[in-house]
Amino acid sequence: MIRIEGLSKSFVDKGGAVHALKEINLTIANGNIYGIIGLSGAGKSTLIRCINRLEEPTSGSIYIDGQDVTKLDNEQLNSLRRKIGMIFQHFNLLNRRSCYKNIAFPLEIAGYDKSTIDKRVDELLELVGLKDKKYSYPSQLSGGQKQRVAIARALAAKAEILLCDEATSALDPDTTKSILRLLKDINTELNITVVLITHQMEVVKEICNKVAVISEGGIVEQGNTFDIFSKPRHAVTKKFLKAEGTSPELIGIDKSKYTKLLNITFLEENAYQPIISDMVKSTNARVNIISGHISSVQGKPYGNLVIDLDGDALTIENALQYLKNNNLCFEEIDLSE
Amino acid sequence: MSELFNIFNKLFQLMPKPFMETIYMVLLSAIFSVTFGIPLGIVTAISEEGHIWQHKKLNRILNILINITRSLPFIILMIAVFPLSKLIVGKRIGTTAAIVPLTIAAIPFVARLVEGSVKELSWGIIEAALSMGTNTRQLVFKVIIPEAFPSIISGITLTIINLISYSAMAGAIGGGGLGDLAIRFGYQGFQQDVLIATVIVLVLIVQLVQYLGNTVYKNLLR
Ligand SMILES: Nc1ncnc2c1ncn2[C@@H]1O[C@H](COP(=O)(O)OP(=O)(O)OP(=O)(O)O)[C@@H](O)[C@H]1O
Ligand SMILES: [Mg+2]
Repeated sequence: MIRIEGLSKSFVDKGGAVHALKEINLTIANGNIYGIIGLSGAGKSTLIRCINRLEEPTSGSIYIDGQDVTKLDNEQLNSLRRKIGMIFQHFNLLNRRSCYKNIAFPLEIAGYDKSTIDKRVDELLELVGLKDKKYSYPSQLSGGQKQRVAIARALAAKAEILLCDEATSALDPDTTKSILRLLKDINTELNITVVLITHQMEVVKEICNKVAVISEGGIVEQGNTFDIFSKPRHAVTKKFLKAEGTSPELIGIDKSKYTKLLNITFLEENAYQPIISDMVKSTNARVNIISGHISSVQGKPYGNLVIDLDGDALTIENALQYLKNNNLCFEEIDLSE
Repeated sequence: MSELFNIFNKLFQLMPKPFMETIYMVLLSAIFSVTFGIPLGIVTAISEEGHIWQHKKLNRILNILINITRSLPFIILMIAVFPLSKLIVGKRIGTTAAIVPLTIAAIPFVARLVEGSVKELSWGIIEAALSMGTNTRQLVFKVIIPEAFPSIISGITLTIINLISYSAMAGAIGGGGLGDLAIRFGYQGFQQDVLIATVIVLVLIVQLVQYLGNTVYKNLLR
């Protein structure tokens, strides 16, 4: 388990101080795939790099399995780091070592003997599906293959935690998917806790069971991924959903032409029901569909629909009541904005 | 026809000894300067602020030493180290004695090039190694030196080429070698043919060194 308490980090230079992290509290249970999402400059990299102290925290504590990381001396830190793998946006493989030698690196520095290393490297090459690239050099690999080698390397010394700093940001969508699938497999099969930071919604939606939204150095929302994305509360979360097209953005639309604009959110079961059609039948309200979207978080569907309700006051009243009775979440969109 | 034969005959008698002297001076001073220059360059690079072995005072001292030695013109350095040459090889002038100033001039040169090679390594690679629990010694020997190796080879090639030209200057103060031959016969003795032949041989040696250096470099890069 990773427990972060009151973590702050400031960078001080000639231009003054930048408070990159402000009093962060976060608990990541074992076996989770925990996503930390935020806009550029929000402090994501700083946060994840504090966990293995590539960045020295200014104040606060980070406990990993009860041990305060911030209090370790160099030697203790090095042995802890062997239990925490890390992968990066730009892979950072050793260019003058083959795949085999790259994966062997953490084992070499931990002092394993040659035959143990050989065996372990073969296992890992198998795990990441690169057996045929054993003797290739990084310059001979594609981005996705490089990241696979990096993942194998990060796990080589039997890591229990894997930190991913924008691990898929340099990859195309298909390759991103395959790397995410690999991370997911590693998580379930080897029970490795994955902490990943990203600015890509899809990444979080695809594999994270938990997510924290970070903005200006603070966590503004955290919880189950499905809850956070289906009922976003903070402006930054909504911004991510909007950028993805999941949340309605009626910019440039003349709202005065509408009577009663509703943004309806469908969650799980609701998403499969013909509720609007039923509502029309039973209340005679007229519905004008403005926009709609359906998507899934970790296999659970959720969606939203923007409609305009037309009819006399009573009809509209009945229609709204109908939606409520069917447990649909909806909010009225202000027509004057 | 016999004119040309005479020239070749003369060159054949004159050349071998100074040629071997040049090789001897360059080779030994290259070996010594690389031996001392590489560690010096690495220490200078990693002791800098923010690098893996930050030691600001040591870093400043090393930089000053390197800069002082680098700013002395070779011809002056050569004379300035006479006492040291006497101490080390027992003589102030001569081919072996010339190795001392050549080495001293080349050490900071190698150090600066190696420092550059180390600093141009991507910081991401070093961080990745740090994240795996690599200690400073392992970082230097298992990451920094191997990763910077091709670039260090280029630096050594450049150093050898510089040493060839410096060794010619060493000839001027009794160091022997091809430089000495060119000056004595070509300049003072008005024997143009010897001068031209020396120049050609020097150019060929430099070309060969560069070619070998490039080949090794290319084979190292993948
Ligand atoms: N070494 C540093 N020195 C000074 N300021 C820094 C340093 N590293 C980060 N910062 C600042 O800290 C803040 C957070 O940076 P961080 O790299 O953690 O953001 P991020 O969320 O990872 O952004 P991105 O998505 O662009 O990578 C930024 O304002 C950045 O300018
Ligand atoms: Mg970042």
